[in-house]
Amino acid sequence: MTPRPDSLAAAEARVRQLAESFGGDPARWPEADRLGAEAWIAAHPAEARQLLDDARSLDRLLFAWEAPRPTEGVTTRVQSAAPVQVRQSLRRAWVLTLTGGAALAAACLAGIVAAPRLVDPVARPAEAPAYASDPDSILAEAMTPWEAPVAESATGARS
Amino acid sequence: MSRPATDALGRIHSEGPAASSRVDDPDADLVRRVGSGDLLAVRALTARKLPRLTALAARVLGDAAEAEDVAQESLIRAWRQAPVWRFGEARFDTWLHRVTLNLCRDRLRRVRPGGPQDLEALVDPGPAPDRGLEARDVGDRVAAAMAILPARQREAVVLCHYQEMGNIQAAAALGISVEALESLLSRGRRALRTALSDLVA
Repeated sequence: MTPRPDSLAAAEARVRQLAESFGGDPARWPEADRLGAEAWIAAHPAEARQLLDDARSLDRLLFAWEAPRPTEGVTTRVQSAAPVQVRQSLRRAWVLTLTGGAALAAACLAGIVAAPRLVDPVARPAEAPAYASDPDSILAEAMTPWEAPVAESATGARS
Repeated sequence: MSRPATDALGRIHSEGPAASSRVDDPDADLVRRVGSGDLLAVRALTARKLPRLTALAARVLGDAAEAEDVAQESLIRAWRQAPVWRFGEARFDTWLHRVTLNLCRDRLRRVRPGGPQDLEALVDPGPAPDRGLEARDVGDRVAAAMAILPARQREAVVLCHYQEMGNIQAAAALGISVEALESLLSRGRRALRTALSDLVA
């Protein structure tokens, strides 16, 4: 079956996009695109060569920039730090596990202790309420003279 | 050929806690051994990651000495992480790259708000016998062109071109979608091509 012209144009456009983004080596292109792109490249060798060569010329330039290698000093420092860091991390993980477990245990214990108090929601309080409940007491409370607080500065100013 | 659907990319290859399948990590065995205190594994993981992280930091920061500090800090965090690493959720290498990039960004923000400047520090002190003056000059030009890229474009190019990460892994390291990564790469490479137009064959 011959592919439709619009799908061919789309395929070419996609190969161009891939080369512009990922360079001229199809091995570095996204896996999901590679098979389809390689099929188009195989079917259109002349156009593909021009397109890929163009991208490869930039790739070659970019590879001329070499990065520094790590020194012996940093290698030694990194390796010598490992035992302490691993130990501390393990200790921290243990502490977190233990404190997490302890917190859970404490929460359970608190629940066990508090549970009997929660089972009777209408339980009467042990002492009488702090407010008057019978008519005589209410009247006596109302007749008690009210003493207004006197500011210290005001009395001082008068004397 | 049609463009792959986003869900296919995300579903099949995505990294992180949301991944539906467990991530296949080539570093898993070493990380497990480091976490149990195996010093041989520490050496092996250092040999595998330290040059890689130093190169990443050097290209993002534009400063070899600072890059070494950042790479050292990243690996020290790796030692702390190894005993409690949750295998299968993400690649350890992706996590390390993310840590390194964050440390680089912190330094760029704190020390040099303008971005990388000390490009001379990136040039190797002595040329290798098989390496002529011309290659060194080209390297310097590339470093200068990379330094003036917007930070995110520079990070994307460094991850995909120099660190040889796939699009899924690079996007995860940057915390962006694969589509956003591709856009950053495309714009970054276009800017580099313009800056180096006299050298591009």
